[in-house]
Amino acid sequence: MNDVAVSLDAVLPPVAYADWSRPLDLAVPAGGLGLVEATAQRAADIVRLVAGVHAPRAGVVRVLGEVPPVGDRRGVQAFRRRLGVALLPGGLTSNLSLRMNVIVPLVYGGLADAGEAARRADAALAACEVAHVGALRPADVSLDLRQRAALARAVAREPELLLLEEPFGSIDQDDVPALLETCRRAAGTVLVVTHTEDHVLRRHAGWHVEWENEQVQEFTGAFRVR
Amino acid sequence: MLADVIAGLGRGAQGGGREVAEVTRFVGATARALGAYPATARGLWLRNIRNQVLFTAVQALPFLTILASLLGVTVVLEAQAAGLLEGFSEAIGKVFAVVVVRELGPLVTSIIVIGRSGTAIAAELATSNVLGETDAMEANGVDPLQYFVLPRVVGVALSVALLSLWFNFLCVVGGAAAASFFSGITGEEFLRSLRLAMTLRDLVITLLKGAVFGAGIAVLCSYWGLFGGRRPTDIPQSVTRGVVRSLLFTFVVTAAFALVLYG
Repeated sequence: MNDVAVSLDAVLPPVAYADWSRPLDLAVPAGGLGLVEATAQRAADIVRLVAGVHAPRAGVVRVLGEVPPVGDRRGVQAFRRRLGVALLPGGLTSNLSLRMNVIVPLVYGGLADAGEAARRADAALAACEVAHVGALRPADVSLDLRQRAALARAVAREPELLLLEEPFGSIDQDDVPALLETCRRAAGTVLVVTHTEDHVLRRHAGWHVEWENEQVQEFTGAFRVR
Repeated sequence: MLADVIAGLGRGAQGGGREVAEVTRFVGATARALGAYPATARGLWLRNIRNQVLFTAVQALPFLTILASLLGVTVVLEAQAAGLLEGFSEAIGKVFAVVVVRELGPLVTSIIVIGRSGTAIAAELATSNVLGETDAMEANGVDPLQYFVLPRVVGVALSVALLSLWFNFLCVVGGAAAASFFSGITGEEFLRSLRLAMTLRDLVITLLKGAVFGAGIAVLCSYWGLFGGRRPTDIPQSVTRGVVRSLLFTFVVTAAFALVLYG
């Protein structure tokens, strides 16, 4: 297995802004749970670059040994089968129930047939303690439950890399350790990107890095950063 | 002054050409997405098509029924005013076959579908786009063309084709009733006159036109919904663009059909 899950080499964001003007290097070790703390814009860009939603203006992003494909739709789908992603602002499809929000990406991503997808969705919703409202639509439940459902959608994919953007912002801090454990069980590598200082996350992360004003303020663990 | 006008026209033509090229690419990508449809999603795909037919065709039936019947009555009253109903003649059948069955049926049905479903498709997809729903779906391995666009294209094409037939049928029923009430032509005579003027080809063309109009409406409204912009203020503009382009498409294709078939 490759010992680096994600690498950013001299990467600049898709659109220039003051907070990210210098090329960024970052290597995320495979396995375990890592935490990146940055400003909201930088956090959002990092997670979208790694997910292949955006392409960098300069530099190279490698994820699980490959450069996220752009343009080739089949290549993009094959790449994203390996990921589980929860982006802000949750992005649950508003005209689907929470349960269908988990099932649809599994069947349309070619990961499971309808029966298997339903089984995985029910298990993930139960693990994220949101199964009791699975039949409701996102607008009918609280932000806390929506965030849990978005997490369940990513976890149900049993991905090689779980990529989470500010995943616990609306969730009671006491529930975070159990949810992190669910994430760790589901995925080979978990990368959490957040723009708030989160001590619970820091306690459970194998490593973390914090950027402020383009400077690394604090980092721990075995990873390369510039 | 004149140079500014010419430059403006040039820019407009350039923009129009670019848009046609982009929409053509979008159609190509959508067709390729159909070829790569995941086998695991077939059940959901059929369910999404069924839902689209429910929203576009079934829920439009009451409105369409009223409109079609009234149009049938109107055409007969106009024909009577023009003296076409004095004694039995083939004229009324010809008027219905040419004006209603071949042209107005698919055209009016498309305009109704653009107003009801085209706006809904563009608004829904534009809102999904602004809220980051399409990004999240895409990030989780769902091809938006397969999930958001293809079921709508198939569902709306099917709906407009069937609604056009239904529209024609009700128009004829309304016309027959009005003819017997206002001019003394019996329903039997009205239908005999229509049978003499119509062929099976007219019905096939109605179905074909309906399918082409429906697919075009769904493609254009989906395109503007997905690519109309990411700000909340882009939502109404996406809807307007989807509707205007769909109307333009419908009229251009109507003229093209007339040119090819009867020109």
